[in-house]
Amino acid sequence: MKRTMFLLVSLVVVTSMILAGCGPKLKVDVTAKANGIPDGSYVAFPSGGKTVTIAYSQEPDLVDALFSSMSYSAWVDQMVQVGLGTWDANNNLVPELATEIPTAANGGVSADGMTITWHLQKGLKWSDGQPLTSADVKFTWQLLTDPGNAVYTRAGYDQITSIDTPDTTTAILHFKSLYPGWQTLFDSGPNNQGNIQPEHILKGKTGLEKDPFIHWPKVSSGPWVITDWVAGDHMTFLPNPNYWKGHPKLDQILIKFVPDPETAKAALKTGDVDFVPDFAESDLADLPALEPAIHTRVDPGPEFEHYLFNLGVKGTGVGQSDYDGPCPFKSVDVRKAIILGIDRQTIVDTLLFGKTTVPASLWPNSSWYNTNLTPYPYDPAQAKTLLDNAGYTPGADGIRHGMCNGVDTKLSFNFETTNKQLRIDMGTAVQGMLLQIGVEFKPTFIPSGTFFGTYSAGADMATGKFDMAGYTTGFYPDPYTDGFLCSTVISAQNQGGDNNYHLCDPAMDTMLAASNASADPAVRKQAIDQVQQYMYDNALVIPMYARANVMSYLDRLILPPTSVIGGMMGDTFDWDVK
Amino acid sequence: MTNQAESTNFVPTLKAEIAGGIMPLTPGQLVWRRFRKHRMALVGAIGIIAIVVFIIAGSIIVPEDAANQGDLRNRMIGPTAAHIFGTDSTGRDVFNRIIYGGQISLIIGVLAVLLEVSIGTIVGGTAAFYGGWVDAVLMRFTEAMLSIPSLFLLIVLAKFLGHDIPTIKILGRSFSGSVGIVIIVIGLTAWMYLARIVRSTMLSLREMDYISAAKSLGASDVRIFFSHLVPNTLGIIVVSSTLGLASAILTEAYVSFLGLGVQPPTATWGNMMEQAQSFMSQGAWWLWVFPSLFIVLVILSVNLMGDGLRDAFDPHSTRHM
Amino acid sequence: MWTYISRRLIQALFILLIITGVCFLLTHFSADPMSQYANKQGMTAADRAAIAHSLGLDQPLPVQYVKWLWLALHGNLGDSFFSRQPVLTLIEQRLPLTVILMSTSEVFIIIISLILGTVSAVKQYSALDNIITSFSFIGYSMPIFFIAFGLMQIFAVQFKAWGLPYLPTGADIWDPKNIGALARHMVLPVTCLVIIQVAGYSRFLRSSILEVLSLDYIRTARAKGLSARTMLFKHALRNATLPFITIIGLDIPFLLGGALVTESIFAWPGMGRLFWEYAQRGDFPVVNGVLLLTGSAVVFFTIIVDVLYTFVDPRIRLS
Repeated sequence: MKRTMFLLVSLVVVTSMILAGCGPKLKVDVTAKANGIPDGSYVAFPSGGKTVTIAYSQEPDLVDALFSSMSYSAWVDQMVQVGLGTWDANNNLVPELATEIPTAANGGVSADGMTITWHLQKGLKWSDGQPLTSADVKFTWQLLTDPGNAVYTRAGYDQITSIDTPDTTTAILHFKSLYPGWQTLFDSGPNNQGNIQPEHILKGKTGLEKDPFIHWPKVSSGPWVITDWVAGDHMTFLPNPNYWKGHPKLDQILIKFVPDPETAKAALKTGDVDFVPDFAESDLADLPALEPAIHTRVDPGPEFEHYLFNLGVKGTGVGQSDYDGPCPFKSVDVRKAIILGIDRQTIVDTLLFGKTTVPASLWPNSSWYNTNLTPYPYDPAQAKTLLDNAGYTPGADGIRHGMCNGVDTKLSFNFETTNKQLRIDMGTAVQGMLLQIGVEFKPTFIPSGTFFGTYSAGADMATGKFDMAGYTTGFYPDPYTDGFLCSTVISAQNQGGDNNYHLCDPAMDTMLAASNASADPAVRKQAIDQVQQYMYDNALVIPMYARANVMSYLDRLILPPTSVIGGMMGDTFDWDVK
Repeated sequence: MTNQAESTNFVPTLKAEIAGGIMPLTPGQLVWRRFRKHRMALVGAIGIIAIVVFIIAGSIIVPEDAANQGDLRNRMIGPTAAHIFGTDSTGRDVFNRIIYGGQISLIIGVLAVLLEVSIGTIVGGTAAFYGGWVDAVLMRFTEAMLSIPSLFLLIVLAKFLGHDIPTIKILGRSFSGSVGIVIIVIGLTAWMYLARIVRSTMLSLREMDYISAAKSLGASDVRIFFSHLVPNTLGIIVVSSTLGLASAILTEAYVSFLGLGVQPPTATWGNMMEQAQSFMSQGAWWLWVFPSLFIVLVILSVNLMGDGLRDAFDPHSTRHM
Repeated sequence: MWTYISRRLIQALFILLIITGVCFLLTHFSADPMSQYANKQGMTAADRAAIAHSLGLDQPLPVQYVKWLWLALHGNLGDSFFSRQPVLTLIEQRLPLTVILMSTSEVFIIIISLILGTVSAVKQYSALDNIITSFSFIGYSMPIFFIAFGLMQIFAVQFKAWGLPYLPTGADIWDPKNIGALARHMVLPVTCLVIIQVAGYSRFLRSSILEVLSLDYIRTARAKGLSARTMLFKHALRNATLPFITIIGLDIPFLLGGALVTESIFAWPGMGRLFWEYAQRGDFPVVNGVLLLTGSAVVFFTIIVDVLYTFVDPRIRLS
């Protein structure tokens, strides 16, 4: 019997070892040379060198942000690849690889705005010593517009008809029509996907999404080179000897993948990790208590959480959807009443610890925000009046009902969002608040892979089978307005659209077109302000709160100020330790 | 050869008439007597009854809204006189939520366990009893079910059935009909372990002499199965039910995050625990200690009762503590 | 016996075909890979269509399945939708550390539950039995998150703060080829996994031992004068291990799947995280690849366990 036990146990152990041995040996290779990087430039763990360890909760699927939708990919890519311009702490576009930003005054922007001339600095080099020239700029455009490459987006780059490279430092972009957002092309930054790609490595290849360089770029134009990447575990960054600005203040950056925020907090406390950039607002409950050993910074971010009404109109024409949105939502008064019935400020004060704001409209924290608007207050009395006037009176169960389009309709709406704890808490709180004014709000929380599904996957929001929904959106850095056009309403005829609001309003369309008709930022700002005013007056969406980037770091780390557009990884060159 | 002499409560069932006119006890009555005398089993039974009474009485005294709504400004407060179990992340009273949460958790837990134990015993027993191709088909089916991720099954069901489920009204409370779906899915995806274990035990039991004796006496398959084989696997079934109950309650917690089952703000012990995870580092121990305590009390009670039941059924048993 | 095994292997292939089909279907509906591109500013419908095409999603579902199956039969599990790397590479990268963690845990679970189950059975209803029962139930019914979090807070964070020798959080950078570092980093995750599993294993063992202890031949052995220990080990445990072996045989295939919560909390780069992180994003090739791996292991180990029954209990015949 003892023997049987022993046999059993050994069987288990041996089998496992066989299984383990079937795979290749553990790959932990820290030598720079083994990764194709010229020898002699680096020391793996410099003694006395300055190292910072960062914790990311997700590992990038691949690094080159042109091919990935993950923000973590973009954050890592910002460290190793740069563009012609970048965003400073004040959200201004400043030169990176270029000598100056093209303007009408310096002749970089032509009179008709359709020709942009960029001048690169002289003597730029890739980390492998090859020169970085305008040919690389042209190649980047070709890569992005090659139909054989499954790039993330071509928007903007497909507006360029040709690029002239009269010499190695000049790139002349010819646009087919006026493109006001040209500044966002070929830029560094987490949302721009415009980093310059190396022609000498990728030339002549297509289907680049599968290329090892796209997965792990080992040749950099930015301040760092990724010298090691242990799958699922960590990445190592050493300075790029050929970066035009020189040697970063630090000697090494390590990124460790730590999925759980509680572990990340523990790691800060034990000193295993120096910087955690991706805490949620709800972590603010206990993070501030860790001062002064651990600092927490709450930076306004470019995103905001909003609740939307399904404004769909059933039909097969342009701008019409497969399903009607709830009939009560056709009335401005009902929509306004719902906004007035939600105490957004208390939500911000309690669930978000007062660290962020209630916006009046879209695009808070940006230069596009209409600062003349103040958010609707919390006014349940006014809300009830509006609903009474709209013909909805409380029934026996306290829920209002009334005639809408000839049918007796209850003000009972389902609501969908993802299953993050903060969203659950918020949805629950809103449910209680709306009950006070006689509106039934029924939240359901589902996984984001289902919630954000496309029309062909039958997702509720895309197909229009919902009453209300909630999610986060933002501006990057040009206000994204295509989502409100009639032509982008998602329906059986237009499955690829992204107007989740199913809103079709010709007045909106006109205003939005005006905002894209000029390259002059002042003119555009005026048009965008009008759009915001219109959306505010008509209560088309409910902005809930402006999202913040919450990051914590040890006292030894000296972090430069972060910009809203550049993000927290925008300036790793200037990071330092005490 | 049974051990009647050591049991103080045994009455031989030889003939219908015995001097003095004392009626012999049926096996069922025997089992009940032995169960009654089993001290630990009684402790368990009292525990279960106490919890059930608490839940039912509580829901009569406390209105459901008090468990589902709260004041945001009172959130995350530890146990005080006003809220003896504290408040949760949206200011709801934890004590009230334990009361209402228990109803759903226990309903789901008990029904799911009944389902999974029935399926597991029948599948495993049938496979062992008949062997041959019956065994092959049933066991391959078991392996297939093991390999299919129940999580995906739940997500897919939530997606397709999510909207169209009617609400059920029981005892004045309305539940989303998807609770029924959750019970069925948990039951249908948790029986495989028991099936394999029951089969392994019965494979060895069926070779025993008294089984072939019963067969040669002409006992039907069903009779042999339920009268001889099942009682001897009762111990395993009890263990499986106890563990399965805890598991079902915890699985249900996760299910509401997929869009199925009860949706917030309705409470269940499981989803209270699940939500407590986000607030661990803030030291909000009251969010998980109390639901956890109740879950452990329930399964301990069920386990003690189950042990007593097993001992009561076992004619060899000398244990009647 | 060899005819039995070959017959089982043929059945295995057949059932694996069905398993992969059902899993493929469920995976397809469980998430939408294109949801990763939802609300991404600047992406046009044409962009999305191009990506969907490059992932093969615009083809009818049966075609996608047959293509996947055909590649899988040739040992190619396809490429991940998002990282674009071969699924086999991703699995290879994570499998060794996963197996090391999970099999170490399994060994400890077996040993500890053998001890606890036996003691519990022999001293049924004593105070010791009740204590073991209560604690193992507490461990079983507590979601693993709490246990892991608690252990980390005490032994990693607090011990370090108090100046005592401490265990790592797992969020540090360490070299798995260093056996000392590997052992130190395994202590907490293994402890978690043991705590939650020990109840299950030991209760089943306890129950089976109790069944056996009351049987006739044990009384015969006792009457013969055999010592309690010999009687216990030679007779009782042998026949009580059938359910125990069954459970082990059912758990081994899932060792390959890792343990999501433990891996997430201790930042262990394992298969659990691989599966879950990619499944959430709708990365079908990775999900189907891992499910094929665990499905094959389930089928394979069931065969081994069924054969093992005949060694443990010679009365059992293979049908």
